[in-house]
Amino acid sequence: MGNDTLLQVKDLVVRFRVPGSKYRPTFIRPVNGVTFSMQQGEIVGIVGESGSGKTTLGRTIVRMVSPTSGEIRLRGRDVTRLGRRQLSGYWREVQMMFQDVYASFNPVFTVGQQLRYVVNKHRDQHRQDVDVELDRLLGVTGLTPPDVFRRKLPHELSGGQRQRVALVRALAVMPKLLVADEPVSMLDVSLRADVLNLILNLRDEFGLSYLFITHDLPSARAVCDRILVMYGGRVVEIAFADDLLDQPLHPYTQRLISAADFAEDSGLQTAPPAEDAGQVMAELLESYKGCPFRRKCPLAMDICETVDPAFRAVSPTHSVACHAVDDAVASEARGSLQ
Amino acid sequence: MNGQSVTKERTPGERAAKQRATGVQGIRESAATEPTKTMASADPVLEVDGLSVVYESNGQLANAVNDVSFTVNQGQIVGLVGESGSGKSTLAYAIMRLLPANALVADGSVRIMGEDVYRMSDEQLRSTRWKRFSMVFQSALVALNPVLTIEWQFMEMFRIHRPDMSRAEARRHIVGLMELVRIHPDRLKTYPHELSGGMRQRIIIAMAIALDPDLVIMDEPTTALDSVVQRDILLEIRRIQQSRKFSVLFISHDLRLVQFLCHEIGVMYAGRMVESGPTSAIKAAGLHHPYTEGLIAATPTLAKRDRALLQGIGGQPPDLTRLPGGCAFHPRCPIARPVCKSTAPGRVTVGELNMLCHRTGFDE
Repeated sequence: MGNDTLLQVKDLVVRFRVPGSKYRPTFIRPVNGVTFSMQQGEIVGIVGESGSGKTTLGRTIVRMVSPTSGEIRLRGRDVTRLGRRQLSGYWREVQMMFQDVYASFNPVFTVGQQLRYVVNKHRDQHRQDVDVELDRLLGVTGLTPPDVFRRKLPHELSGGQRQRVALVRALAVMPKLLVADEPVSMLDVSLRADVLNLILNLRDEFGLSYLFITHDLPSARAVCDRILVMYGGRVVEIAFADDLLDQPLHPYTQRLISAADFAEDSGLQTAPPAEDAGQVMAELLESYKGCPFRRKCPLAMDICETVDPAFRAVSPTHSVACHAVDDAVASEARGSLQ
Repeated sequence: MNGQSVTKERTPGERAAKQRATGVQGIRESAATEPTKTMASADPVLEVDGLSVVYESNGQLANAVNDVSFTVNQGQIVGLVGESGSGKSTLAYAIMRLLPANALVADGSVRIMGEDVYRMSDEQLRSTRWKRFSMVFQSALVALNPVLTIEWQFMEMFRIHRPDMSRAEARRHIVGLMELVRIHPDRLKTYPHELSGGMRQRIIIAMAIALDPDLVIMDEPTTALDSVVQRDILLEIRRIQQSRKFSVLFISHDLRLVQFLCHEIGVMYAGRMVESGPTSAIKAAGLHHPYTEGLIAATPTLAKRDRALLQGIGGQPPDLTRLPGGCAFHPRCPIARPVCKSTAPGRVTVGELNMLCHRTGFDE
């Protein structure tokens, strides 16, 4: 990893008190010891099911949530403990696209007003220059003619258009990193491909880096260079997208892949029994011991009950946290990757 | 091409005014007469014939469903795919006779087990609905009453539809249903918010099949769920369907799911069924409606590793109050010709597929 390292996250932990546990506090760790780094211009996917902590990780990286411990570095600068005033500078470089795009707009202001507000907040620029710039961004994202879209209110836009305006709003600040939380999962399939392609084009045009948070592995494969798989607040596997999908090592990654594989009619196998999960996943509880995936894992062993599997590299670009991936498998994977 | 003919276009206003006075018009699909391999008997459970539904809002009329015909046979799973605004949910509500007050069935008929849903008296409808045909709604959290326990909501259903059943009998029945959808009966005492999204959806499915209906309509039952849970629910639906032998009308915007689960598929666009046929034929390479081809190209799959393979359809879904003339898909269609702008295409049969497109006429 050279000088192009954009973001470094090290041993990041986020701790929340479970609502309603005021007198006997119990805590969960939706982000539990996450370590990874990404390069300038890279698109990294964070994949996992609901409750795996992927959204909390994204929100922590944009510092909407303060980490309990660990470290976040943007281009070498420690941003873990930035204060309010410094944060607005940080947000000039790191922006977020929210999952519920509609809720992230003010319903009574036009698109143009909201976009201009964001730009004025972060940059000192003449009003006319701002408008020219915004028109160009609206054009790039396919919202033409721009002056029509600038006058529209959020409810007058379709889902795909709203998603594009959210992209424009994030881009207007000219960030280096965009954290996109499920940017396409609310969209119809016919519009999804357009937005995914737009994400790729904007990377090429502005050198933008993305953290792409999704539960949909096929969408992640379509845009991501590397994919990070989360389960129970932990990163269980990280690799280049193709390696991860061709050679998934962690049992959970394998399960995610088979869940997304509708091409093969492998569905004749019986479904796993319904789990008795409540609202809070037991795996996230602070008192939880061992591998987070062990209760659903087909390969679970005794050691998985007690010892947290270490995150280790099976190759320079492929790491996994699993006791069942023994050294033989790892070296085989290493051999075939070379 | 045999079976090719041109549907007469009428404005929504005329359609609405004519109501059902003229009876069914337009071209029927051959689905009912097509040989279907997937089931033992070919008894139609649901017959939708030339159905048109019109919405009125702010003085404007929107043709949400336009001359749609199809059949669901005994023990069959039929899928409807289309994007938001294609009329697929409106179609489901029209079949249930649950349309809102500003919507009107302008034309056509819906028959369930041979009985016309729109000719039933209110009393008849009340006793048949849910017993003979039921529905799994899109949002499981909204469909369940948040202040009543799951058991209470089950009991209420039995109290109304099966007054002959004793409480103990109903409870036995409910426990059996919970086991069928693989949720521990202890969960009956909980409230909806205490359950995960997947469990809620299983409960909704259990409620829909509780009275042993002949037909279950499922409107986007897995859309709000993540991909692992989604697959579990689909497998669950298939397993229960095979053991209970009811028919399913499965509605989704995701072609992958529909191809995975259904025996036959209908593709909807702007209120019309633009392509229909058995899943194997829809999946197979060959001549399809350009919209179906667009959907296939736009769907991300794990196999599509080359980024160039993912192509959007482009453009926006049409505004139903101002449908483009001719073929409604022509502004987004990559192979549109002048004729597509001027004339609405007729239904053509290509192999096992049934299409609403001019393209077969292009080559001549």
